[in-house]
Amino acid sequence: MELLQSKLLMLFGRIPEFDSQAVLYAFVAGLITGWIWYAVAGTVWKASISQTAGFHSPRRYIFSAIAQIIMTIMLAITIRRLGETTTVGGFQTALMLWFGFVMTTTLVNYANIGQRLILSIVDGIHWLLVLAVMGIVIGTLSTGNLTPGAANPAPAATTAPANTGGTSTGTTTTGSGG
Amino acid sequence: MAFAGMSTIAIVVAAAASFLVGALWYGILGKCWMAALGKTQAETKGPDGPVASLPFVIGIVSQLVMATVLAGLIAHLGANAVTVRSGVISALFVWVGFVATTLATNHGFQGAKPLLTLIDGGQWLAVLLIQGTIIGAFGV
Repeated sequence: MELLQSKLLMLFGRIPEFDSQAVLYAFVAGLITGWIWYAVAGTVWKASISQTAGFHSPRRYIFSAIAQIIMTIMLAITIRRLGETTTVGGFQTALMLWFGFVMTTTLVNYANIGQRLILSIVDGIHWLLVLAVMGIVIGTLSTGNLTPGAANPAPAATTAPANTGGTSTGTTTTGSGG
Repeated sequence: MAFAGMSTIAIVVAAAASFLVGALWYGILGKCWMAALGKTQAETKGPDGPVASLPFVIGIVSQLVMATVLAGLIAHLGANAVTVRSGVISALFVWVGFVATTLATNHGFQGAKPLLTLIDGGQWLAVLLIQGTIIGAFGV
C-alpha cells in the first residue's frame, strides 16, 4: 500500500493522505461482505439479469477488485478530509455516499434499460453493505492514527484567498473533493 | 437561501442543468448507446410494463438527491471550500471513487459491453462536473 501511495505521489505530485493499513483491512472486509451477500442473494440476482455468460471469468473478478480498491482509497480520503474518523463518522460518510451517488446512479442506469427493480435492490444493498463495512473499518482504525487536528485542519491552513474563483493552491484543498 | 451551508437555489439549478446535460448526452449518443445495449427501444421499457415516464421521474429525483449530497459534501469541507475549483475536484473524486467503480463492476458482472459502460460513465462524469461547477459557483 505504501508503494501504491508513493507511485501515486510520483504520478500526480501530491495526493491527499489516507491510512494505508485501514484501507487494506477495509478492502478485505468489503470483498468478504460482497461475497457473502451474493452467496445469499446470488440466485435472485442471476434470475433478474438477462445475460448469464462469463459469470466466473477471472478477468471480471480482477477488474472488480481493482475498482473496489479505488473505492476504498477514495472512501478513506473522504472520511479523513471530512474529519469523520470515528466508527459512527465512517459509517455515516459511507451511508451518505451510497445514498447520494451509488444508489441514485444505479437506479437511473437500470431504469433506463428496463431492468427489473429487484436487480436495483440486490445490487444496491450489495454496495450499501460493502460501503458501510468499509466505512466502519476505516473510521474505527483511523481514530488512533490521526494527530489532533490533522483530519480537520485549522481554518487558517485551508483558507483559500477570497474571490479567487476557487484557484487556491493550498495543499489541503488539492484533491479535497471526495 | 441556504440550508446547513448549502444553497438550495444552487442545488435546484445544478440538478436541472445536469438533467439537461444528461438528455443532451443521450440525444447525441442514443444510437451508439442502443447498439452497445443490444436491445430494441421496446425492450428497454422493461418486463414490468411500458411505463415511459418512470425513467424520467427516477432521473429527476435521483439528480436532485445527487446535487443535494454533493452540495452537502462540498459545504462540509468548509465555507471557503465552496468554490468552482473545489466543486469540480469534489465531483471528479466522487465519480472516480463511487460512480465509475460501482458502474464498471455492475456492468462487468452483467456482461455489458465496455462501450455501454463508457457512455453511461461519461454521462455521470458530465452530470457531476456540471453540478460541482454550479454548486461551487453559487457559493454558500
